[in-house]
Amino acid sequence: MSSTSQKHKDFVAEPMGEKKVMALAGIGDALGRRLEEKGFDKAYVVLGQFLVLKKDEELFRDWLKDTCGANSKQQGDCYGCLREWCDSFL
Amino acid sequence: MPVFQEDPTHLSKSRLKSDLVAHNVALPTENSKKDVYVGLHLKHINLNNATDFSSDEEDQVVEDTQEEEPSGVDMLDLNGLTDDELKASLLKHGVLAGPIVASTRALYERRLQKLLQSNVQMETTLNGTGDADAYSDSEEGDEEGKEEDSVRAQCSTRVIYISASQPSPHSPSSMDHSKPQSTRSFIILILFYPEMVPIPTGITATCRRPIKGAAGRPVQYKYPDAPPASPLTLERREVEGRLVPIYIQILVFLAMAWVLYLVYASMEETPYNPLLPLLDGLSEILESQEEGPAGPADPVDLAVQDSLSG
Repeated sequence: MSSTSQKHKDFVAEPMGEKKVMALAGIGDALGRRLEEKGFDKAYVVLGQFLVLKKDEELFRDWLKDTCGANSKQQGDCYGCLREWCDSFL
Repeated sequence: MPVFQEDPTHLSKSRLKSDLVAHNVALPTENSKKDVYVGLHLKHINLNNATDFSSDEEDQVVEDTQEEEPSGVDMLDLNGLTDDELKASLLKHGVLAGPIVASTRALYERRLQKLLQSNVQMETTLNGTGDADAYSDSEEGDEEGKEEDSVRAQCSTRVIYISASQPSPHSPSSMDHSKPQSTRSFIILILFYPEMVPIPTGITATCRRPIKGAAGRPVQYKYPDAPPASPLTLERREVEGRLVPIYIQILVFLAMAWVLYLVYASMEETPYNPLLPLLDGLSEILESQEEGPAGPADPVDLAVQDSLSG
C-alpha cells in the first residue's frame, strides 16, 4: 500500500488483544455492524478467517465482500492491515 | 411468464386448455376434471419445454431465469462434491486449498468454478474461434443437458423450469448460456480424459514466440535458447562451429603461396645444389688417392714400418 491510514498504523503497531472488529483498517461502523451480526465481533475472529483462508488475498477479499459488502478499497485496507499485523506478530 | 413460473395446478382450467391447444395436445373430453388437464399439461408441455424452445413466449422465460442459471448449473455440480473432493479438484488445478469448512467452502467453490470457466475459455480460444462455444461446442452441451434434463424431469418439475432454459439455441440469449454449458462439457471432458494434465495456471497452450528476425530483431542473438528446427540443423550448426571461417582459410592459403613463391624465387637467384659440396669432396679424395703412391709415405705407414723394424 502506498499510503497507510492512521487506523492502519494504530492496528499494526501492537498486538490486537481484544480489539473490536471496527479497529481493523477499512472496517467502519456500517461494515463493523454487519460483521458483528454475522458473529465476527472481534478483530481476532476476522483474523481467524484470514488465516483459515491461508492469507490468500483474493479469497479474503471475496469473503469480506460476501460477508459485509465491503468495496474494493475497504477490502484492500482490511487485507493489508491484517497481513502486516501477521508479518509483525505471528 | 406465468406458465413456467407457476405450478400448473394453480392455473385455471381454461388456461390449461388453451395451453394444451397451443402445444397441439389432444384435449380430453369436455367434462373431464381439472386433474386430467393438469396431468396432460405436466406430461406434454413441461417435457416439451425441457427439450424444445422455439416460441417467442418461451424466450422471455429464458431471460427471466437467466440470472440464477449460470451459477445454478455449476453450483449444482460443485455442491455435489464433498469437501475432500473439492479440495482434490482444486489441487488438480494447482490451487493448494486451505481447510474447507463451512465459512470457506463457498469461496473455494467459486474459485473452482472460475478456474473451470477460464479453462473452457482457454480451450475455445485454442480451437481458433473465440465464439465457437456459441455454436458447435454448446450443441454438445445441449445434448448432454437434454439427457440430464430428461432424467431430472422425472424428479421434480421445478428442476425442469430451471434447466429447460438451457437448450435454447433459437433464443437470442444463447450466447450467454454458452459458458456454463461448455463448463459442463468440460467437466465431462475431464471425466472422459482423466489423463489430461491440468497445470497450475490452467493454461495448456505453449507460449507464443515472436518470429525470429521479424521487426528488425537480430536473428541469432535475440533468442539464444530457441531450439533448432531439426537434429540435422543442430548437427550442421555444430560442424560449422568447428570449421575455420572461409576468409581465414583463403588468407592462410595466400600466405602459404607467398612463402612458397619466395622460396622459389630465392632459389633462382642463388642456385645452390646441396649435392655439389659432396661431389667436390669426392673429387678431392679421388685426386689425393691418385697422388698417394707417388708422394711421401703416410704417417700411418711410417709407424707400421717402425714397429716392424723395432
